[in-house]
Amino acid sequence: MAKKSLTDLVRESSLSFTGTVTHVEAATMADVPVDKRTVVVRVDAVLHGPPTLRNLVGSQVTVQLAPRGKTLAVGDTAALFTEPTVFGDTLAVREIGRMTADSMAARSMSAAATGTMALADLADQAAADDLVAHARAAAGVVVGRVASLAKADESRIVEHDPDWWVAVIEVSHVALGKLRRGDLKVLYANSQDVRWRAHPKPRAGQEAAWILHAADAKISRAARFVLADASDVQPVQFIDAIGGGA
Amino acid sequence: MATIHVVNMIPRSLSGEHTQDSEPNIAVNPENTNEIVGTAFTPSPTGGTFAPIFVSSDGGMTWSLRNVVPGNGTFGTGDITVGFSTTGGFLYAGTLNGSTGNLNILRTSSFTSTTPMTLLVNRASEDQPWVVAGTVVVSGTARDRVFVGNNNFNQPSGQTATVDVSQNARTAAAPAGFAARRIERRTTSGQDGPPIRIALHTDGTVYAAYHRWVTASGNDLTVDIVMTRDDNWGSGTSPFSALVDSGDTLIGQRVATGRFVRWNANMGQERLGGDLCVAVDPGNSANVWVAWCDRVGGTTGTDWTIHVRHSADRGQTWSADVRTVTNAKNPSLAINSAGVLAFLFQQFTGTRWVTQLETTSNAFASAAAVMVLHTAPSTMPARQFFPYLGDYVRVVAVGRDFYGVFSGSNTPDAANFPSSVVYQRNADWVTRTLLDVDNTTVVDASIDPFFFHWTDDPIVIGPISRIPIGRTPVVSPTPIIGRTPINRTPIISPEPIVRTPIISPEPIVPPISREPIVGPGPAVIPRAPRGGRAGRALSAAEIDSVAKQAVKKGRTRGKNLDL
Repeated sequence: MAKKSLTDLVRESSLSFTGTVTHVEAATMADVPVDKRTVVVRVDAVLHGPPTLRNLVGSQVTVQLAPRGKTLAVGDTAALFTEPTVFGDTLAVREIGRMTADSMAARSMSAAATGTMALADLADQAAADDLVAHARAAAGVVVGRVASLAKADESRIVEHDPDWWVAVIEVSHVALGKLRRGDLKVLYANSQDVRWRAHPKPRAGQEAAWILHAADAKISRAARFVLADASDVQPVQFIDAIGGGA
Repeated sequence: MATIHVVNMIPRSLSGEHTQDSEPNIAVNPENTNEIVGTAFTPSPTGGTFAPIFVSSDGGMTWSLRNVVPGNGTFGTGDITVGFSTTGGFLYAGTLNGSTGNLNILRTSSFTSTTPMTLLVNRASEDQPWVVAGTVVVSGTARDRVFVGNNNFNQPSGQTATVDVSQNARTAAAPAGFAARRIERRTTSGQDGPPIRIALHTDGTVYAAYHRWVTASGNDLTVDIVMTRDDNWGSGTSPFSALVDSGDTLIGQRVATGRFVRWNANMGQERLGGDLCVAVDPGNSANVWVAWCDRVGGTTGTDWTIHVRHSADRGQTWSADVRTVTNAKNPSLAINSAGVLAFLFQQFTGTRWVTQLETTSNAFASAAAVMVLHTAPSTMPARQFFPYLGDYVRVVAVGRDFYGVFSGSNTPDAANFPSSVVYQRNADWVTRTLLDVDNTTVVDASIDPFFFHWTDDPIVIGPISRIPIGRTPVVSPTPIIGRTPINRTPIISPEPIVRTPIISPEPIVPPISREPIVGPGPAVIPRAPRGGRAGRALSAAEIDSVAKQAVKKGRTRGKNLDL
């Protein structure tokens, strides 16, 4: 297995943990295939992962070791970077990469003292990097305050109607993109439907950094730009992260 | 006597989840009813690009999730329904991709696989795919006939009610023979309603029902309920044209006309607007049933009323309402091989949502048998998005049995489950709180999907007590270090649990004990043969023996561990 940096391993996996192998060629669930590279690991500490999985300590999970690389024996410990494949009575995960458990000792000790996950900072940084990349790929990023909100037009009656509205943003600073200060119309989906609920819903008077995307031709008559992603509204300080400060 | 078994579908490893898993759907493998797939607005627990399906290999007793559906949005897909082929175990799904919103039609040959499903159709401007599948043998080769009802805004003249049909979807490359067939032939207000529902009979009869939106004024709609039919698997150049209306002589028999719908009206925390279902009698394709919702009170009314009707002449003439339910939604119908009709719905009492299953053998001529599956306060948990419970539920029949899903509050309160329930996720039934995998951290209540299995053919296959069980822990034979006690679900029913007959030709792993388990220790069940399934579970003595040997050798090999 090619050696990867800790940062890369965190970025490429959604769950990492230190653990101790308790069984080899075994699984914790009946319908999980078992081969020579299937082991059962007791989770000693969760290093990073979604909130739903952060309390796994003490659980036994099935790990399908990567096709190449050293196998593990009963009693071995490791820091495993994984992608879960089956969420059942227990978890089954696929190994993305591995480090020694000892290499996590200092981080784990520090995390235990603060009640955090040892690699949460790296996961947060990866997410922040993704957000910056998302912003840099956008049509523009501006800082401004919402001056008004108005319904864009009569929507089609469908369950997943976005319910387009237009926010007029008084742009005070252009961080990225060929835009000007002054009023700027931006579309947003005001719907509470499952398809649109997570999209930004600007509030009158709200000041933020707005990540703008070119509106689809079907809706661009109302405005050239649209808030198309849940992350398209950020604190104004976000522009420092993208190097777009005043 | 009929019995029912209700299971919360969230697995124990996801005890910490608290998303709104609404709008459930279900598919049961007719060849092996232990194999069941469920869906809901459930996002991938770890993010990423694939949304999950719920999988059960033991008749719905236990469930796990696999991220195999392309398009994982904040809440999973934008819509998803599923169907199994009659033979071969092929699973089909229709989704609104959670990233793009496009209609996706998907296929997998292995419902337990962790490999993403194959994309067969990808089309924009769509709504509410509804999947039904069957299999026929042609020249010795099994061919999957797959039907996906959808509201297709690409159709001309606002005639949007559509069924995508493939006559041989099993193995072909995308689009696997799928073609969009418009089933609306009349003028509309500019579109039809979201639900296009399908019922398939083994003789090749296919019914497809839809809401024809006749007029629209703002959110106030005038709607016809229209039934179409095809007598040869939806094949030919003009499928779904076998039923001609006895009034206007156009294709599609109108079951009801001029019905009032106020789109996006609310009931409790839920939205309203499009409820429809259809079912055909497996014993006689002439017998077909339909149910829908409308506002009987019209513009000044406040109700949302389910109407149930049936036809005995292949959809040409229809009964008056044989059953109505006021202030209810999500009707779903199925008919079993004994001619019993199951009617599933969710009713709003003003303060509670009540999910009810009714069964009748005489078209409601006498009082139906009623089972309340779930009842919970309508104000909790708070809505995360629309739909709160879902725009549909589903009940299906395989043989004499009914299998279904619904979504509702997951608060672990025994009073909410009059027909009993089994939870996989951790819960404290005394304090009525959900607990995370550590069995300590309290988890907020949310909407969960629930599976149920109805049978009148009881065969007890497992010694599962349904009497209240004390919380005395059962200690596993080998130690698990660091494991905190697990409070398994209370088992509330006063009657013994009856399991369904198992049809699988292969060995089946016996159901996992529902009794509370307190670590330490994995129970050991044998490793599956290479390339095959897991075998039987070992007895306690065997487990003990294996564990001792393992300890002696300092290792264990070739085991599946049931923790």
